[in-house]
Amino acid sequence: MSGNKSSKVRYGMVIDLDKCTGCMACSVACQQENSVPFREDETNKRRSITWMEIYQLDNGKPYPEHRQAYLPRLCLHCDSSPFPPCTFVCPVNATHRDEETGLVNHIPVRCIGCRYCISACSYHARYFNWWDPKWPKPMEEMLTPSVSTRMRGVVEKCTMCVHRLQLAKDRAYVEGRRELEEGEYVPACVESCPAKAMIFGNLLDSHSEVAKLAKSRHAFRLLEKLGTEPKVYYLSSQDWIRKLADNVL
Amino acid sequence: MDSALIPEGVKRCSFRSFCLWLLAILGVLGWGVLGGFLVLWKGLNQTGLDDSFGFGLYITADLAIIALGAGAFFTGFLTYIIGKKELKDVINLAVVVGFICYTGAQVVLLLEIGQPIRGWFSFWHANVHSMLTEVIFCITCYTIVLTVEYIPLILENRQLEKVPEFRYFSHNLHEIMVVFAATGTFLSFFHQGSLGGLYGVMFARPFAFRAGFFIWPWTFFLFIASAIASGPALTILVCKMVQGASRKQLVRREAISLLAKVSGYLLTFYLIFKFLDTWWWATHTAPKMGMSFAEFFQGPYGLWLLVAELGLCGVLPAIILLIPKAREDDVLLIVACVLNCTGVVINRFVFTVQNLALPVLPFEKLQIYVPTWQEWAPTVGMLAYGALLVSLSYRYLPMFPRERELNPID
Amino acid sequence: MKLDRRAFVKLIAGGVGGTLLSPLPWKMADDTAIWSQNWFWRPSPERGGATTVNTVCQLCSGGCGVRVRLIKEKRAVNIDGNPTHPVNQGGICPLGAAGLQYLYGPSRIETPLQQTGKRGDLETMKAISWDEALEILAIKLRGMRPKARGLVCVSGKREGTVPELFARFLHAYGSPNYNVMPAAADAESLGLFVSQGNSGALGYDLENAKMVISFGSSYIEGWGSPNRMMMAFGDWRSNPKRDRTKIVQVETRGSLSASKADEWVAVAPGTESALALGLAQVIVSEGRYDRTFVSKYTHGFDEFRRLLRRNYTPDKVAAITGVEKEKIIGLAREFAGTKPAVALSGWGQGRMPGSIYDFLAVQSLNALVGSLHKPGGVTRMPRVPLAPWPKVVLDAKSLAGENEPRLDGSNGPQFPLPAQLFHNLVKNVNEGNLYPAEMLWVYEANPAHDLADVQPFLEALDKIGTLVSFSSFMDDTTQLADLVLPGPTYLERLEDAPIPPGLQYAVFGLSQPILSPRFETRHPGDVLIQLAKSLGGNVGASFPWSDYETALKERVKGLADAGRGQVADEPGLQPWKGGQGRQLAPNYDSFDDLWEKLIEHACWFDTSEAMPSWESAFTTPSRKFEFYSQKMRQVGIRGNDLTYLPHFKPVEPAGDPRDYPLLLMPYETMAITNGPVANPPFMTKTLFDFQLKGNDSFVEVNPKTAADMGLKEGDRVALQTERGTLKVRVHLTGAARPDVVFIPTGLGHTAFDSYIKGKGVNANEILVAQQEPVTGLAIWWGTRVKISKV
Ligand SMILES: Nc1nc2c(c(=O)[nH]1)N[C@H]1C(S)=C(S)[C@@H](COP(=O)(O)OP(=O)(O)OC[C@H]3O[C@@H](n4cnc5c(=O)[nH]c(N)nc54)[C@H](O)[C@@H]3O)O[C@H]1N2
Ligand SMILES: Nc1nc2c(c(=O)[nH]1)N[C@H]1C(S)=C(S)[C@@H](COP(=O)(O)OP(=O)(O)OC[C@H]3O[C@@H](n4cnc5c(=O)[nH]c(N)nc54)[C@H](O)[C@@H]3O)O[C@H]1N2
Ligand code: SF4
Ligand code: SF4
Ligand code: SF4
Ligand code: SF4
Ligand code: SF4
Ligand SMILES: [Mo]
Repeated sequence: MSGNKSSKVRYGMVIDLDKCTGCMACSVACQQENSVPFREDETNKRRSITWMEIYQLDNGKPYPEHRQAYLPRLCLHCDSSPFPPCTFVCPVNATHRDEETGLVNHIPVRCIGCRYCISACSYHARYFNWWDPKWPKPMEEMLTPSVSTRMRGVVEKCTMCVHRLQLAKDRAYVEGRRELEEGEYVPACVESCPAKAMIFGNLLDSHSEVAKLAKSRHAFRLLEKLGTEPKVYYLSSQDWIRKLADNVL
Repeated sequence: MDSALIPEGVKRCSFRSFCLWLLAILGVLGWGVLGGFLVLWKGLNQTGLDDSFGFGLYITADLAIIALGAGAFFTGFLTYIIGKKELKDVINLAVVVGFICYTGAQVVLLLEIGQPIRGWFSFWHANVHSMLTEVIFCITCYTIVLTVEYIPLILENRQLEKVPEFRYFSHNLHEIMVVFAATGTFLSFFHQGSLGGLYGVMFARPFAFRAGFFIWPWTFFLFIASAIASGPALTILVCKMVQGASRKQLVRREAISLLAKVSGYLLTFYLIFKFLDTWWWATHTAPKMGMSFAEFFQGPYGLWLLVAELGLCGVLPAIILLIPKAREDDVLLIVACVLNCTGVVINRFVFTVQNLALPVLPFEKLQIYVPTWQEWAPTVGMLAYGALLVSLSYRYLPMFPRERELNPID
Repeated sequence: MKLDRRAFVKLIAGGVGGTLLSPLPWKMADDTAIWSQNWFWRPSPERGGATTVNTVCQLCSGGCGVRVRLIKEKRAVNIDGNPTHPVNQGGICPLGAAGLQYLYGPSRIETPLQQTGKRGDLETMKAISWDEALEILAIKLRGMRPKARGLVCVSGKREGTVPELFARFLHAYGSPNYNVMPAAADAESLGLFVSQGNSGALGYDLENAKMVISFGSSYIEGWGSPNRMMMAFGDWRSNPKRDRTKIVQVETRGSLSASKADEWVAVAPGTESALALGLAQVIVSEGRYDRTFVSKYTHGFDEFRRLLRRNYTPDKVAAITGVEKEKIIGLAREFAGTKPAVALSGWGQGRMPGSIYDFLAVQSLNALVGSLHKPGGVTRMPRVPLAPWPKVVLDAKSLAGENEPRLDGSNGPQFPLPAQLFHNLVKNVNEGNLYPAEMLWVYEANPAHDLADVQPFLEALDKIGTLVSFSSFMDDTTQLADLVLPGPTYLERLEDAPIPPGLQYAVFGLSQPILSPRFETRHPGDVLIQLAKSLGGNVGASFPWSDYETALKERVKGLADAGRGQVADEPGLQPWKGGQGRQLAPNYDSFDDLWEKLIEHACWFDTSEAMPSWESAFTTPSRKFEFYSQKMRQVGIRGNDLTYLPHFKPVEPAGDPRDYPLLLMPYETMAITNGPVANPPFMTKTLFDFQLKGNDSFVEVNPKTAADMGLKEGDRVALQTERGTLKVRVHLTGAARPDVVFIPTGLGHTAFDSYIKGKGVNANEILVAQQEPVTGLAIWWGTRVKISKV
């Protein structure tokens, strides 16, 4: 892993695709947690905002050898050095990687909506607000105060629920602690997963579950050859799934 | 009716014909303004852009037009710095065309960003690592330079010239034009190169990405080279168009010939390096990312684009422009210039659209981008804006210093 | 004025400097930054302190514990899983996570409504007060009392105190027509009744199973308690390779459950239970069955063995199911050789009753390998020791009602088993059999959309005097109602959440009003109590409580009195570990303490009810598990030997294969709700564009079948069955079996709001329900269909 070598914290995730049931709970939990806007028609997938997007994979074989699997894809919080593909290109510093934690953040109120970062991210982890978000009248009530709603013309993406990190840090501070314990900061999607397919934690802490799983022989990352160094790892014992993770000649 | 504004000693078409022509231009321009207004008012949902195509027609047009606008700085460079005096015939025209290209690009860029009102953040919160920052800084500065270069020409209008302050002002600007030409050259080298970097640095986009030496300095200079090869071609074309419309010779043939020759040599130079780049990309850069050359050309974005860009619109015009006899033939010259300009447009298009259309994740499919009329309108409107400015400048300003000499009124 | 070079430079510098020094550009820049970041129309939610309250989700029967985050104790902003709840352990399904979109949904009903014009016309639905509404209903009911049997109620919720209050009201009033929506639980309870003697439901000890064969159950796509199943699946997959639970999915469609299984056995449509019988045959003929159990605790084994040998040899079963003989034999050996192993029954999410014989075939397989009432096997669902309410007070009218035939024909001469036959009720109403249905109450159900083969139901509505809906939402049924008595949503009301289907230990959940009701809604329990009181007489006397809360508490006292179980108040509780019959020391010391803790933690659980002893396990005439059901004969079912034995005799899909060459099969997925409420926008957003595109939904077609018909991905087609035609688009996938097309259920609502209405088509409109001759259960696993390009 690259990025800032001096930091002791690199938050990351392992998603076990063998366990994932494609239930979409993580995607819905994320929408609720982060006030992701929705519209009456969301079927143009190229304009639909879902920070946690789930892909359907299949082995391409005919019935009855056909198999499918689901692959949840959030922002992978790329750790490439010196910058992730997306923050590297932002003209206004509206997105950058926090080198203390490795989290790639995004500041919607500074974003000018040039979409250079969208173009630079080959994972499609970034979304543009093509419309002003609107909640049908009573539904504004359910907007969380933890996260601001975005406006038309800016980009948004998974923040790894960084507001939860802030909250956890505040709590620790009140208790006079400088460092967080494992499990104190957990993103909404991870918390929701009924199959417990997602594990989150500090990849640099060799005792953490996430660090151990990331070293599993079944672990892989998406498009490793590009050198983006994602901090989201996947697990699968299925060869055909692992083969779909990267381009091979 | 407007004869008082028309430069002395030249002939122009009737005011009525001119107004009709203007009306036609304004019609197209109005359509462009309407499209642009809708995009500003209702947002980018009016376009065919989406999360797969963060960039589309606007950026393609911007990049193409900035490349083609290179005629301005490069002619200035040849005229003032290298001292090719014969190019003084076309320098004003080149400046006007450059001004059109850069201001037009700025307007379209404003439409292109989701929060145009925050456009200035790129100066205020500049990220020095972003190629886009470099591009925005340089083209803004260069637009100012072009404005400064354009002003003395405007002040040479028959009526304006009567104001002594304007005359002094314009005279003084003329005196220091070398400084601006140098500044312009410097800035242009930067941003033309950065435009190449804009794509070349996207290391998660195998189609555009170039590694190591092939990004810096290679890609940067490729973009500069393609711009200075095609910019003069556009200058020639516009010049030919004005000559055709006015049915007059406005510049001496030497000027055109020189531009054509320079363009031919530069295009050849560019192509040699572009072919090297393509070869290295196909055999080294792409395979390292797990992609094969063939995978890069799919669906409507097939290999024909590469053939068109580098063969039909590259090698062919280069040959024509290199052969003195051929480039002296007006028809062949125009064909070569049109192909040359088309080539650079295709180049900017493939980097913008084809690059994003291609699937990178193995489980994804090719995406197709179709621009809406709200994208076409401002793009075409930009051409109308160019026609407007050239028409006005030609009619009311002494754009061609040799016009009187070449077309004596008896 | 003379402008020399210096003056010129000064002028420029001065101009630029002057402007920059003035506040103007800075102020303007600052302002644009502020404007562009705070458009006034961008919603800015009210801030304030956050608190978290526990409750249970009631959006399906899953019984999950959830936590709701509240701002200033009044604005709910998040729902997530409650880690202390044993059923879901902090996990949540997409439906549960989207719960606030119901609470704050635009299709909530704000006051009671009366239809003053034509049914279905929303314009003429008039808002009325609760007093008026109850008065209208009470007058009607008083007038109807002589024809009390004409009151019909259909509930979507099968268990719990509120459905019980509805049933109680009908009983006291004098109607035998309390019904529930059809579901797999129907076949299950009948199957249990005829083979084990006691009705009720099954509890699967899946967490401890080493091998699971699912006969068509969508075990990770909503079957049973959806979160519990997904959690168990995750657990099975966590174990090291050699200790891993093996999952086999027997199903026609290459569903996610099939793909995620270790093995997918792709059977011919509708032949799951034939495969089960094939496995049974191999196990019996090779002597791999549990001899002790079979000889001591089963009845009719020899008849069963003979039947198997005659009809279900691997060759014969291979011919029926299309599964190779070797595979059948191999699977049988593995199932018999793995301990403990268990077979699941109930197709899909469990919404279709299914054939009783399908159920018996699968459960007989469990019996053969000795997986009944054993750890890692399947047992009887434990009871929650709620205290009974006082007996219903009966008068002459209600006593008469007890003797009336049920309008659905169950428990009668044609269908002697005590079944729930709502489809048959619809048929009888349409055909004018027995007696008229004067009034229909609909509670927690949306039959106008969800009932398979919905057309006859819509026709029947014309013959039903008054339609009363207790729904919180303007759903497909409610918009047809004459009177709407809107209830609060599950986040605004007190109600018990019964033990979820398939669970092997006891839980009791309590949902509570975590915020005050947003509208003029009234708890259906309170409505029934008030209504009973205003009717007075024996009906009033049967509802002696002041309100629903009192009635509920009276039952919950039973938990405290039993002195069993614990309030679930710490994360990581795993009641399935340590075995059934494990005594838990109660962590409450009185009813008041228990109630207080239930309000706080929302869940009580218990493991102390042991697996039944062999003496008490079976209440059949033989006191054994009956392969050959004497119980069936006892209740009066006539037939030959085959009738009383598990066998494979599929109910043929409707339609002549010559006119309708393909088979249409419905399927369910986690991303589309089928239950009480329509798909919330959050979930609809997760649908792929080959499931829903614009307003078009898709059928899955095998690429070969499509090629034969000249169909391409995305083509628009008409699906025509005997019942009608739907227009959909085609999605090509290898998950679809050749010559079978698969359609998702749950879409195509005609009601709710612009986020829901009109999205996709409702498969129920063209599925044709068939009737199983012996039980009368409705079955709609497949319907013959013709596809034509449009
Ligand atoms: N994503 C998503 N999830 C859903 C839904 C949805 O629409 N979308 N719908 C929800 C709804 S409404 C339902 S009803 C469920 C359907 O799933 P279930 O709740 O499981 O449906 P049931 O009809 O209750 O029965 C299905 C099987 O569970 C067992 N079972 C059923 N009832 C009982 C019982 O009382 N006791 C015991 N021990 N076992 C029982 C039987 O084995 C039966 O075969 O799925 C729920 N989950
Ligand atoms: N084709 C087909 N048919 C099926 C099924 C299937 O899967 N496919 N499934 C079967 C099964 S398992 C079931 S459970 C039934 C479901 O049958 P449905 O007809 O779906 O009944 P529900 O949807 O459970 O009832 C939901 C109604 O309750 C209302 N409601 C929701 N929340 C509240 C509340 O808080 N208070 C009140 N008063 N009302 C509320 C809603 O407005 C809705 O109208 O359908 C059965 N029929
Ligand atoms: S996944 Fe995309 S958005 Fe996220 S850090 Fe990587 S490049 Fe950036
Ligand atoms: S869209 Fe926003 S975040 Fe992305 S590069 Fe442009 S300004 Fe930066
Ligand atoms: S980490 Fe948070 S923001 Fe990112 S996908 Fe998960 S829930 Fe959404
Ligand atoms: S919540 Fe878990 S199981 Fe469901 S889709 Fe997400 S990762 Fe997969
Ligand atoms: S499974 Fe059912 S009860 Fe559990 S959270 Fe989902 S909808 Fe609610
Ligand atoms: Mo249900």
